[in-house]
Amino acid sequence: MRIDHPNPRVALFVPCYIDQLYPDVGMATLELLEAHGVRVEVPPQQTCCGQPLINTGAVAAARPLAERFESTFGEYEHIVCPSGSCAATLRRHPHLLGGQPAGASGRVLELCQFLVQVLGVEHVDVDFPHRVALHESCHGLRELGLGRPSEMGAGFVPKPNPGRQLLEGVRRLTLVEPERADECCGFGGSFCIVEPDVSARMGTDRIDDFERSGAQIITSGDMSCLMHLASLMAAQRRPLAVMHIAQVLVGRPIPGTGEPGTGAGR
Amino acid sequence: MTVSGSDHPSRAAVFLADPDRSGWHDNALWQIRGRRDQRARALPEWEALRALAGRIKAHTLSELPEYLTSFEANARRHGAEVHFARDAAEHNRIVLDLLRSRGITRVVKSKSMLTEECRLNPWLEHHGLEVTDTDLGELIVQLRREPPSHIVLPAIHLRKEDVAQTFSRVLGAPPLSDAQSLTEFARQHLRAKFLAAEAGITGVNFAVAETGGIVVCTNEGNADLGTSLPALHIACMGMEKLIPRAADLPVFLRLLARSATGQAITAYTSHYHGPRPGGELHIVIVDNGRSQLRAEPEHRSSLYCIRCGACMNTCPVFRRSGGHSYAAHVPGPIGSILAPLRKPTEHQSLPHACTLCGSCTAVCPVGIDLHEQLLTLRRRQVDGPALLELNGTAYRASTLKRTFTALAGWVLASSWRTAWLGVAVRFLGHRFPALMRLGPLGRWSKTRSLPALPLRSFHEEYARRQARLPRASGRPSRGPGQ
Amino acid sequence: MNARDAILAGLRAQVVDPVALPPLTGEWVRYTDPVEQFCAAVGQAAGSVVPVSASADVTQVISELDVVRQAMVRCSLVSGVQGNFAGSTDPHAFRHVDVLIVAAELGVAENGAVWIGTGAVKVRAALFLAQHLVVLLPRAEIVDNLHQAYERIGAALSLGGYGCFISGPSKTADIEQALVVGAHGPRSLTIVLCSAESLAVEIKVP
Repeated sequence: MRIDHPNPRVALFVPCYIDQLYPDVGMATLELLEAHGVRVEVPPQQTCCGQPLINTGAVAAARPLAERFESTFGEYEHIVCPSGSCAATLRRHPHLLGGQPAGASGRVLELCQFLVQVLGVEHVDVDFPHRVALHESCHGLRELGLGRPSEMGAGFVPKPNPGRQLLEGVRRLTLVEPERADECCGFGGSFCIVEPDVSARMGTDRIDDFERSGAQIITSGDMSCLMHLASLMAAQRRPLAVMHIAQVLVGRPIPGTGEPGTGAGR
Repeated sequence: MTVSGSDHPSRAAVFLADPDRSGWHDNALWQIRGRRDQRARALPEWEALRALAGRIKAHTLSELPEYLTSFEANARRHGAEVHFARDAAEHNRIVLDLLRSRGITRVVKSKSMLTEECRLNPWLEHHGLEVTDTDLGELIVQLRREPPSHIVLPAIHLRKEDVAQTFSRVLGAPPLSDAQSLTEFARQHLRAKFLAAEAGITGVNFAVAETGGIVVCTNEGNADLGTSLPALHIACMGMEKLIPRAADLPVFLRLLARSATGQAITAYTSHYHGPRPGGELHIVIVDNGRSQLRAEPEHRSSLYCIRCGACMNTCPVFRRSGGHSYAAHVPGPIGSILAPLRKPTEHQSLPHACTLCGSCTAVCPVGIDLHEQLLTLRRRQVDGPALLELNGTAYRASTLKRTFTALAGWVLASSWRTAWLGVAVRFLGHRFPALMRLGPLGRWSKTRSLPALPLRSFHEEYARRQARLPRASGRPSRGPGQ
Repeated sequence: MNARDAILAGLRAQVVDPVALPPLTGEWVRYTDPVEQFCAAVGQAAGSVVPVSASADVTQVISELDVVRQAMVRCSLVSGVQGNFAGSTDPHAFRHVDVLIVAAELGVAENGAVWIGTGAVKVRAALFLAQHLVVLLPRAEIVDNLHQAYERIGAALSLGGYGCFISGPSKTADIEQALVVGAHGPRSLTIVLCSAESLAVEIKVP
């Protein structure tokens, strides 16, 4: 899977909610890739991976999105996405939508996975002197297999966890662990609208766990989880903040402090 | 989707309205999940056993008619009588006839989810029989006239004060405050019932085709007390409980208790072949929709279920909403597949009581793809093939939902429609923030703040950034590597 | 058509992809010291183990156990061990038994269970009505895992009768997840671990 080309050409897939609500996550992703020599292209005709529709059962409505993905990204060998859940959905398009041959969607890689396993990045040149907790998103962990789900028993051979690996290499970053290693945050797409009470309870419990662990920042490869947690924290006035892992790895200042970070891309 | 009193979300809200109780429930089940994890990590062949168990079940189902007939022949060889029931009503009639024809009125029953499914207790009681549930958790909920909330831990939704109050109110128990003395009280009460019983009804954990034997697992010994004292033993089983050989039993037994409670094995794993001396054994094999499940390729594996409850213990939604919120005799992830397949309209909210986190699939000892099947059910609600009620009518998701998702699909299929929608939302959201609390978004903002709307989308920012770059290159200024 | 034939006909009419029965060859867990593992597992199941050396008198050890000394009604299904209740063919007769002494055919290290089959106890109610259970188990009959146990008992199962894997005393955690030892069945289980030579085990039919 490793590329040896010094300036590989890579297409960036920007999840629709990052495009509309969290553009800086897209920017940080762009900067992070460029800092490692990648020629990033952002095909403008891209749209959505279809996850919000597929997850609510509207699979037929999502099929045109899959066709658009193929026509937009078909020419690219490497496609990177800063979202575990979108990457998982895209990679499973043939299974989820039925009858599609595997195409460009099968070549999508989650951002950290691309950095570590394709570019061979071992650590990112960034300083981030804060206590950070990594929220393992369910899609990244259980669908993409990026790490060891806590349910797995003996005999399971885990794949490496590239996001965790990169965080462990960040200068002065203290990684703290919650008590429940990988419990779901409660976002679940339409779940948070359909089951608002359970969703809020799940998210609040997760925040409690992170707070008890001493985290200042909750990070993840999935902005959807972080959006859910952040919105609860804002309503509950909690002292923690969220940052997408790309934002941590390019040394963005932690929200609300204005302290500059140092490192690649800044 | 409107929230009413008759769906999972509204019932979950009731459960969550008591944070002490719901918090205790969540934590108690998480602890059990933790004990399961310890066992799973300590047994070197854990994942191999899971894979093997799934394959054995798949094989058995593929040759079910042959295994049923050989089980029947071998069970008869040992002196058991074997009955078949097409549905719950037939099962209930068979059991009632066996009891009435012998003039039996006092029955003890150990845990059987099948008898819950068939609603056997109310049927027998309606016909004047006394039925005592002898599993302690089942006894407690029976006395409270409520259904169990978990298939392995029936009273997990109750605190000991609730139990004490129930024993006092219904059985005249003195005030008792700890689990030990409450259990002692139940012991004495049930001992009298066992000794006076005229028949014992049990479920079946595994039915072995090769030997014609049935296996029942308990921690309390209540199945054995209920069947070794009275002369008549009636064992009720769904036909998916079959496994081929005695040598297959250890695969399942090693997985069952570890998955269910984190024990290496239950206190009692009883093997019955034919009746006890001077007694009778009647085995009732029930279909009740299992044939239909077997015919559905996407849902056939739900028949592998060995009713361990591990999916319930791990499910973050179950732990926080409680078993009663599912209003199905088997709740939790597996129940959210089985119930909507049987009654799609009544249980339409269950496939959505799930974040698709996949934890249930990861713990299932027989490898059922639980969360995938929940997603399939959602797809069938919208796109079909339609889920059917027993009378043949089809269930479909509301026209509103189907229209809305089709519209959303149309917008999202085009980059400029998506971009314009984004512009419109940002414009309106900045000018009229109250709009962001309307309709479904209102349910978001009941407990959450809405994300701040940025001025420009990523694509707009990117386009500006690219416009600022020197014409000839879109290349970064740094070289390769770090 | 009766229910049986209707169900079977319906199943046979379905087209289900064949799935081969997988072979049961596997690397099942083995222990460097199965006896030690067995004792630990019995403890985890809230039972207790009393080891008896080859030179000791098993019958004396049993008679000196608290549950035996304090018992008013003692029933022994093991020859050489005296009881004061000879047993009965009527299951209800065992309701006054304080302690039942019985022999197990084998023990399983991975889970601390002992196998008590039809040969060992003719009236199965005895195992559950007794307030306390004392089980004799020759330590040489401890196998590592449940697969090995079923290899030993499988043939006997086909011949019929009753058998039970018993792991510890009866117990429940149905009230607030608090473990209570001694639910409806025996309140305690004591395994007397002996050598084959120290006791010629003959199963007495009660």
